[in-house]
Amino acid sequence: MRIAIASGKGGTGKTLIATSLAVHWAKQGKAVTYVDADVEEPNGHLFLRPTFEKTTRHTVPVPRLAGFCDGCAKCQDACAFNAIIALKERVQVFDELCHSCGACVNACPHNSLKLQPRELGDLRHGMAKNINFIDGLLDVGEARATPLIEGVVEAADGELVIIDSPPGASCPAVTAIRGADIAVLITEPTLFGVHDLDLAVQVCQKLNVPPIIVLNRANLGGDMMDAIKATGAPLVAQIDFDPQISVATARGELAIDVVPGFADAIANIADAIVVSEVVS
Amino acid sequence: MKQIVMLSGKGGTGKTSITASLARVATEPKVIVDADVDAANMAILLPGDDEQWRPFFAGTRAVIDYEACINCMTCVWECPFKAIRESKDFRPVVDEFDCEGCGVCGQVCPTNAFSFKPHQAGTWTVRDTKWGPLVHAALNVGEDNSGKLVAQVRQEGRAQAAKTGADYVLIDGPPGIGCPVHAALGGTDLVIAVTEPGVSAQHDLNRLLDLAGWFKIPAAIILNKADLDPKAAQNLLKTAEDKGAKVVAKIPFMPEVPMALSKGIPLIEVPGMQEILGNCWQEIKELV
Repeated sequence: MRIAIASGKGGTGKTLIATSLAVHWAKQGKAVTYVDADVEEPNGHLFLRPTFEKTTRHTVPVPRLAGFCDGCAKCQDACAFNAIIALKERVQVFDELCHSCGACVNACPHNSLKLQPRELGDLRHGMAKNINFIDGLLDVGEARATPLIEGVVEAADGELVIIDSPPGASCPAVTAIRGADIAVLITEPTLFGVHDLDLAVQVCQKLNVPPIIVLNRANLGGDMMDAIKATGAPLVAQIDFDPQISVATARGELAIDVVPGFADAIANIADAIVVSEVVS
Repeated sequence: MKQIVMLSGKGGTGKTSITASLARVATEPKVIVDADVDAANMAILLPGDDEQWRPFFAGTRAVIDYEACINCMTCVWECPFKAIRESKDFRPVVDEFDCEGCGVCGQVCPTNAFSFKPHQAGTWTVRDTKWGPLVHAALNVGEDNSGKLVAQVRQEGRAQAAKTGADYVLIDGPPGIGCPVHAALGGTDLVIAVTEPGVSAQHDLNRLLDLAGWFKIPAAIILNKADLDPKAAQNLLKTAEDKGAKVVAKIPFMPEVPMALSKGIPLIEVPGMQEILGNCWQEIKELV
């Protein structure tokens, strides 16, 4: 089962729930893979503290001139993303605009363009106790997160894969949620929380991934039940605000290990995920 | 005209409610831009009348002329995004969600059956608010053109500032450090990193300040929920100092804030906040 933990709005508790679920299932003896797909700002490693065993540089193909060029500009005309321009006898590639589609390579009459790897960031594998840990770390200054997210998500296999997704409702979130069997959407009882929850539900619907909702800090805010119901996705669990969870999390501790009662709350969510997956 | 962008790295640290509150506390003429186009929330806190929403077009989508198509499926094999699939009745069908409009299908099609239509990726508008014009947008769900839409709302923000003689453009940015963040911070005068105590926010702040440095834009810090964990707050202040970012406000954690936000009231209306944010705005003005 592949479980995407997502939210729309940032800071609702995705990483808290995702890492806690990983610990919960690992304690039950299950083979769990935790994947941090928030490659712009990955935080799962701060809590699970894995020992990294393998780090590779993740790359994306981009065109480079490797032969004769007469500046004919057929590559430039073929590129839909304005990512390559023809100069006199050479080309200039704007790497961050390139979608790696290869249209320029096809268009070059001299067959002089070749796709070559360009580095985006680190793809890291490790173990956190008995949790299989994978994350991505986008290079600072790099704009293209999505291909690294793809790499991180594809690197994960196993019976039980937890994908800690980036916030938002555009391509990074889509890439992380795509292919999951279920999406657990974490929200909070504020107007922002439910506005963005609705977007996240729509993303799931587009991707045919059934969403379920967990309301975090349920007692800190207003009554948002009608708005949550209106999204059409089921609310399966609520977690109340507890300053002990906030403080443990601020210190990089696993709240599931140190805050009384929190392990039960996570066990409830874990059960709800399993039940929802079977039903859907 | 000075452009100030509010960023955070980590999501949920309070960017939007603080930006809305600064917009209310600042008496100078200004324009507000919601550059978090994927999950835009500023309009919830700044009521007013929107002009007509305008379509935002970015890129194209492939369209198949089935009169010309001979169902050879070359496009299905060659599409780099696997966005053309064979249907049950053995025809190639474009998935508009996955298609990026690259044109490879058009290159490989033996019968020239492809054309490319402009793709609407979202909408944007300008709202007339008591505190100045608010430029805001809605990216269609699941889109990949957030950076371009951010560029669009920022351009309109500058145009509005020129038109209304505004001194400041306040930009509420997206979380992260990738493409839409680059579009939100390029060419601004000051990055304000809204952060909170804790290992996650600190890790993300580090990366964000490095990015600001990479763009050669000075940065300042607003420490939100400052009293949540004193030790974590100390560590954070050290990060700020090491990276040369001035702390322009420390805002205490108050349960009244999420309570107010659940009703669409920004934190400026929570008792005690007026003074903290008033002082914060003075400090920000001195920095730009």
